[in-house]
Amino acid sequence: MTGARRQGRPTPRRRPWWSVRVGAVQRRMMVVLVVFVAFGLVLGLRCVYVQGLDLAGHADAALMPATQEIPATRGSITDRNGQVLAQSTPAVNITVDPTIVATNGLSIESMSLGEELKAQAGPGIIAAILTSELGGDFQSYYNKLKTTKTGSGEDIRYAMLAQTVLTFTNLQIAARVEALGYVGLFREQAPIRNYPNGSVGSNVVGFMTHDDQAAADGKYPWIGGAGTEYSLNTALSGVDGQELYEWSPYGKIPTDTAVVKEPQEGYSYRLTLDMGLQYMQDKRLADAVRQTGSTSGKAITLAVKTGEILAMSNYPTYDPNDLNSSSPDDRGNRAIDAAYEPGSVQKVLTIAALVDQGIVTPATKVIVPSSVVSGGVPIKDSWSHDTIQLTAAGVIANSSNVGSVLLARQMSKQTMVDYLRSFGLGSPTDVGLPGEASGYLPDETMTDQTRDNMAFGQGLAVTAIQEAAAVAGIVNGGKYVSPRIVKSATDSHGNAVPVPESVTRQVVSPETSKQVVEMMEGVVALNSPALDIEGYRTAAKSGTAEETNPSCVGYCAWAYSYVGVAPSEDPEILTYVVLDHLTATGSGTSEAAPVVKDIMSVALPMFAVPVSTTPASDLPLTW
Amino acid sequence: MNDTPAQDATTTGPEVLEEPTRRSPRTFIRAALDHPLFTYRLVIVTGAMLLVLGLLMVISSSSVIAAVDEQDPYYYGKRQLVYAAVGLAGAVALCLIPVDWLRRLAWPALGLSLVLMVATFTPLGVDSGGNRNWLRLGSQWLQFQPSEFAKLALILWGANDLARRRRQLTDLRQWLVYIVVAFVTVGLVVMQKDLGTAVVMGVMVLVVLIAAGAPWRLLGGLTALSVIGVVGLILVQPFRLRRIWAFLNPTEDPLGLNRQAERGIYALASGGWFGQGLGASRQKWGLLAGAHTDYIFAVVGEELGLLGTLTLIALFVVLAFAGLRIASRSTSMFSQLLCVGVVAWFTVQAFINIAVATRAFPVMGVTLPFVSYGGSSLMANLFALGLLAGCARREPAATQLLAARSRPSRTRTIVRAEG
Amino acid sequence: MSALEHADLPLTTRRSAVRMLPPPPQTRTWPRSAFPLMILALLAIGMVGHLALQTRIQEQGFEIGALQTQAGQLSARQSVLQAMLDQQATPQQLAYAASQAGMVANPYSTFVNLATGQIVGLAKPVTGTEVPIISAAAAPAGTIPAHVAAEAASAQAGPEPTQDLA
Repeated sequence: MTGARRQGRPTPRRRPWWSVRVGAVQRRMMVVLVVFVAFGLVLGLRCVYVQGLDLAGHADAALMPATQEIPATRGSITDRNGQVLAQSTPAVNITVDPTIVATNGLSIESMSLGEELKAQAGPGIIAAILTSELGGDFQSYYNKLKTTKTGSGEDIRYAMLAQTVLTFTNLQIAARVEALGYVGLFREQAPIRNYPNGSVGSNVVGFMTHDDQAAADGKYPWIGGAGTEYSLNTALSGVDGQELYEWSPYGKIPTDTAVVKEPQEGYSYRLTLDMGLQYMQDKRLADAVRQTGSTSGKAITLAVKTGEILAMSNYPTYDPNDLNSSSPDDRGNRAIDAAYEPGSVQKVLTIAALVDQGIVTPATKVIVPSSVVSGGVPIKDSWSHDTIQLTAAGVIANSSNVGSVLLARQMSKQTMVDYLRSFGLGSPTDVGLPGEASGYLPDETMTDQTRDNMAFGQGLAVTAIQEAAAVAGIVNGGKYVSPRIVKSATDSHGNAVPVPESVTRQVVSPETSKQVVEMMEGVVALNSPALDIEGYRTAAKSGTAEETNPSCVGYCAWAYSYVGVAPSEDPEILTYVVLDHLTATGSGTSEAAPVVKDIMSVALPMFAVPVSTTPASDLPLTW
Repeated sequence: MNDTPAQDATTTGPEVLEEPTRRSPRTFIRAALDHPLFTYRLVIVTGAMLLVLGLLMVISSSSVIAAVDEQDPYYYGKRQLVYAAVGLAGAVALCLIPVDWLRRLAWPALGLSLVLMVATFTPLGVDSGGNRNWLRLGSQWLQFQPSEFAKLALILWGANDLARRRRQLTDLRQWLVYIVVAFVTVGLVVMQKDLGTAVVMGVMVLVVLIAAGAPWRLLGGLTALSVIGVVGLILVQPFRLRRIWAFLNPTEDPLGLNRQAERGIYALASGGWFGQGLGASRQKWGLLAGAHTDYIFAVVGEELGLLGTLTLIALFVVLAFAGLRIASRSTSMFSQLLCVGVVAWFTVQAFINIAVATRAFPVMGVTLPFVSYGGSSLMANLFALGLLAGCARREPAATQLLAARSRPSRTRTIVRAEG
Repeated sequence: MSALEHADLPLTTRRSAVRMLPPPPQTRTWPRSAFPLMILALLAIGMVGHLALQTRIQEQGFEIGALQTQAGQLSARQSVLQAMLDQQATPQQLAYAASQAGMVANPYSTFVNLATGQIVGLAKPVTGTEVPIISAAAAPAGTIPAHVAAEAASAQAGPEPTQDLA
């Protein structure tokens, strides 16, 4: 402006309001560059702090390790032919986290209106799916899905919707829920143990019980509670595996830090039982117990040569698929855990010991009075008679208590006890089932009265399996084979797993065995033809024993028993039946023998035992 | 016959004639820096590295969600490649276009982008994540963000306008035109509810004004107005307030408001010094929202570690340096302001994005230039890079060298008169 | 005159002050920046290859997940079918099915001596009352619900393999 030059008047130059100074470009550029570089440095330092130093440990917090249990499948239990007795079917408990369902897994702030509406409809839709797939009450599912707070205002994060749902069904439920875009349902492993045979053989197979300790530990709470499920529980359970991996909403992240520990699947066991025979034996025993009015009954069929238990029955029994409909008293196995006084079947053991010692032969002459005094108490026979002349074979065939006592007195107590111990009495047989009782066998310091009573099967206590195995040993050429319930085992790959074998020992000589069997044939001959089995030479012994009972003082109950062996010339099958009675309505012969006969009639052809070609022995019973 | 007299052609550079002296690294670097095409090559190399890194990271960070949603892990990568190809073609064009044509484009570009911005308020506009800043012209392939191109148009027009008025800039009123136009553009973006882009645009305009020599008082006034405006906009919208709150309380609500920021930090921390390895990010498996868009820097941190993040920051700083160097060596104010504008755009946007990802700043939805997935922004960035390269070519020294190169080779022999 | 016209004259005969400088050295066949650019290109190729490998591993992770889900579904279906099969193989079921088919129990065994062709045993016609313990009781109920059994038995049982998100 030239205002200063006019008229020489030094007018102060007034700058107009819009006049400004423009900055130097190069300097401004430098300023901008410096500012940018400074910010870059700051950000770089921030990166160093977050990534390099990571003082807050965010890198570790970012890891999403998840462990997934890979449960081991419980091994199956089958009979000797592979027919399934117990098998696990995969199933789950469906649980829900209502807090997640309420927002369908999203966070409240970031939900749009559409997502909110969808989340609100969730419980109804999920409950409808559950009702259609599982049945049950829509309202109860709905309430569990909907209730997100307890009475005291805490969040509910866990609710049980349905238990033991087949995995097959649950996969469909999960697919339907997921297809509609809902989350929040979870599952716990809860496999169903399936017993397709129901009550047949249930006392042997066993069932599963709830282990509260394992449940408290958060582990799968069902373990074997009885029978082979219990005794083989560890091997059946296997060992769970584990998978460690990184988790994300889109599934497992494939990293190199994933570790899989394969589970060790449970071993599968093949028992010695034959289900066809077991079914028939169970049924025949049940009919017998009901028809004779007994309180309970036990039946055992053994393969004599191998000690394998072909069928073991109890009545009353239970259905492991429906435990609540049975009484807990019936869920044991009386054949191995109930000790009782064996009665006259014990005479077989007594006579075997005497014959083996050489003291007695089947032809030994015995003068049998009507009674004999023992410990101040008279011992009588089951039929009244005057003094009669019986051979040893006759004593057995007629089941004379007096004769047995007189013969037994010729043996020392020590010898008797030794023989009885070697026959397996007084200790568990280690058959492979839990809860086996040892019975009660007096030792050599017993009184004379006890020895006399033991001769005909009172004064000692045995279990049915002990007695059956003892008789089997005697008739098996004198070779005792301890009874077994487990035939073999395999792992999940099919490789054989070793199982315990039977203990064997020679308890009497083969000649003794032959003679004892011939004496037992007399029992059948005496009752012929009622107890004959067509086509086979059979040997047997009956028993009628007095028992104690909680309902009275002293002896007021009875055990009617009968043991049958066939074929006599080379015994293969032994069947022993015991019926427990509270009234003296019959005898072993009348009550238990028909059961044995019926069972052996089907067992012998079932196991392809050749018919006998020689006639039964015909030993003289009197002299 | 060529009649040009033997001139005292000053040696314009040692390139053709002699081996540069390699006496010391410093001399070598200085010699390299003095090369007329240095900044041009620097811009291209830096841009190429950013682009390649960006493409790799888009493929890597989007592969999981692409595989799940589209059954093709390369879905987003392929689209980004197509956009990159188009952008590169445009960049080459804008690089080689003569300056006066460029200046003639300024007004139509601005007009078109303003029209397109307004069009987002019509039914042609499409909502996305709360912002109505997309325009769809029929099919999905013709869906784009006008605001990205508006940034470019604003830079171009602003450079042109201020350059035309360069002799009148002592008059405050001459600045006002640009300021008003910028205000209108930013205002349109604000109406689209995209505060992040508005802030980037605003800062970009301020930096251009600084570089153009605007008086500090004017700048101070504008800054104050902008701050008040931003604060007002934040207060008006509750979700923006929530973001501020979430930033100030980083340990609160880690699954809700702070979820993305937490995951971003987790990603960066997991990367450590050297990263998990390209493609080995864990957070991209549905845990980090925007892994291939706003938070791609976190994925870079996770996969390439501190090495990768510092390299990325360094690339942007080098690009800024190159751009400002071009500006300082340019003779035309238009080129200067163009470069400054482009540099400001890239640097401000990149630094805001990185600050958000490293949790040094509240969440603001801006993408990382060249790297984040997004066709409009990638193309606009590449066009801007093309403009930058074009300015580099128009540096006086570079112009001479390129002109010299394009003449026939007989003039290569240099003749010197004696006497 | 241009310098070029002087070009073929020997140096010593030129009278003007114009001097020719020696011809420039051969220009490089490769620009100087080729080497670093080649290194960068190799780096880029390496990174692309690594990324491609990593993406393939990721895809395979998804495939594994889908296959595992499918295996789980098939295993669940197999277990249901197995339970149904076990149910059919029990002696109760066998007795019921046999009696429904009009069969009767025969306790008399006969043996054929394969070497001699001799038949040994008790070959007798049976009247159906020889083994009263096998009766035609009602078919025992299975533990698998009927609708589940039907689903498992149908060929298209189960949905398509989906991703397991649990």
